[in-house]
Amino acid sequence: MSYDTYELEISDSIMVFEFVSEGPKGLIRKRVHYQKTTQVGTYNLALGDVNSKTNKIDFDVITDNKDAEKVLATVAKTVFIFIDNFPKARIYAEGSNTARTRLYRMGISSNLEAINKQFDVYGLLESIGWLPFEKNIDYLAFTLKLKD
Amino acid sequence: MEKVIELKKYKYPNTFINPELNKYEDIVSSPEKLAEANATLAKYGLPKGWEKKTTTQSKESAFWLSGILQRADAAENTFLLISLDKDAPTHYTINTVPEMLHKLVKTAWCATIQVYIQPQINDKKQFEYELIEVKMD
Repeated sequence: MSYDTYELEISDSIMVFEFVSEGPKGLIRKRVHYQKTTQVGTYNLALGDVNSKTNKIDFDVITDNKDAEKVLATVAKTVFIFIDNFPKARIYAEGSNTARTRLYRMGISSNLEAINKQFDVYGLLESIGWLPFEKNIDYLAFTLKLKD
Repeated sequence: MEKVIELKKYKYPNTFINPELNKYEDIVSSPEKLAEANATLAKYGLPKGWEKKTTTQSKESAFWLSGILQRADAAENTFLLISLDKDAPTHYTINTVPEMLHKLVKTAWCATIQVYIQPQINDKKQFEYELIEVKMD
């Protein structure tokens, strides 16, 4: 897994990451925030564009800056850095819309072999629950955790 | 924004600590999204560990699989995820298993088949699965 990634800025506690997406739509600041959930040790991965006026994350915007692969690789890098610091943590990711969920799925699918060596990855099907991640299935959400 | 410390410790190039971001750490970026995540996690719980079983089977696999399906059939809410082609998994409910078996017998003597069985749900929050991987040579 060696993809081109954006430069990352990270908060002291390694919970907040920012990078700048570059493409035809210009420079777009993106933030990845790992937030504690009510499940102990499980962190929600929140990804969105930073609104330059409010400085808050806009989760629903579809940027289409033609750099999805580089954005995904950068988000993947945040996962590795986060897990380096919190090796017992489980990451939960749910797309804010279908396109983003598909983006996550693509990211996992295209590197599944490498990811499976290090992580246990599961996808959530509404009527079933969690299943080990398989390609070409539309999951609602994903979790991953370092293998024991 | 000032970039202060490069994260050489983690050997990730182009990665910097920026204390400016600390102010967002305790802010919930989107209460609604986090609430949705919490609701989903509360509803489905966390994934359970899987016991992976790998068996090499020959032409009799269809019959062997049949046995599993009979066992599965006895349970309520049985769900099967069967992949004749690892890149194109198909979902089958117990009602469409005959279709799957027909396809299996007709097409694949050399395929990897993964069967995910959800035998029974006693507590709806508690999902238990069995993964059986069959390599047909």
